[in-house]
Amino acid sequence: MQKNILIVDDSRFSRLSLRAIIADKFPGWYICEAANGAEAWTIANEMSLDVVLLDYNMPGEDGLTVGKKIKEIQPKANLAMVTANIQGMLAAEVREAGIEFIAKPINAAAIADYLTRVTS
Amino acid sequence: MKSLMTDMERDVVAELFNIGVGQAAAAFGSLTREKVQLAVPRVEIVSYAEAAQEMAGDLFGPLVGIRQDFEGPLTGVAALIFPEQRSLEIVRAAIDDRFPLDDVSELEQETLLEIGNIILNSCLASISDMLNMSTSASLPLLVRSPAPDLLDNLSMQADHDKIVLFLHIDFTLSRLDVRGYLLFVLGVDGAEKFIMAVRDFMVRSGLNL
Repeated sequence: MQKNILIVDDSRFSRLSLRAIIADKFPGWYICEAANGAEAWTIANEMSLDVVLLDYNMPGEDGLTVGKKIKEIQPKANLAMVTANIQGMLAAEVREAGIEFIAKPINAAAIADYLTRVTS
Repeated sequence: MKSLMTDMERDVVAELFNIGVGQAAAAFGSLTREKVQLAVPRVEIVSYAEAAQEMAGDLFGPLVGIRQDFEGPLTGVAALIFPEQRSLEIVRAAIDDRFPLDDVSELEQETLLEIGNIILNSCLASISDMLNMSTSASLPLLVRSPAPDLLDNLSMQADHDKIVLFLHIDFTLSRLDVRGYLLFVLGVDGAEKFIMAVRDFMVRSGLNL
């Protein structure tokens, strides 16, 4: 079944890596990208999202703030933070907000496992 | 500078960075999908001028530096530095066959920034967790420069009296032989804050001061 997934990361390298994993493991899914929170907010107001993968450290609002806002308008969406900032305190705060925490570097198996779990 | 810390505190700082850099090496290995061998990091607290002198005597030719500002137990500037001639090979190793790309150099800067972001954050996050403090980071910035001018070009020159926590690391990947530096420039306030956090950590850990 087709799913709509949004990748939010200011790093083009990271967006391309995530896009490649998703396209390989979940062909047919609709993938859109945002390079910051403002772009993500625009997309979240325009379409229904099944999954949102968010970086934490981005220009403008951080990924946690953006994720909380998206959850308010799309409560059914599954959100995961994919970040190099692997501090325990941040991970706890992210999980408390109902957002999955996935450490960078991006690992294809970890991303595929998460997407399979939340969409099946 | 050395009198800022006791021998025991220096040992603790070295171990904190040993663990932090180990995390960073694991992240680097995962990114490049190669086993990363890591020499034991050498930790020194030196003046800005001493750090610049050591770098200029050890790394030659154009260098690449990725810097980030941090605020937390280590408040200051952190940078990952390695020879520019290796940068494209590192980028190739990171991209490999992850996604199709006609020209690797097209994505060189973005990839180097992300590598720096992951390595610096892995190290700092690990140290912050051990010290039971949180750290915030700016976005990474990439600078290419001749070796003697790199510190200045990384905008680390604001105050030449600043203290440099100089962490010399050697990464070796099976296909690449990359030698680089990870360094932290702290102001006097930043250094005192860090040493206080280390002392708190030692008390919590039951280490005699």
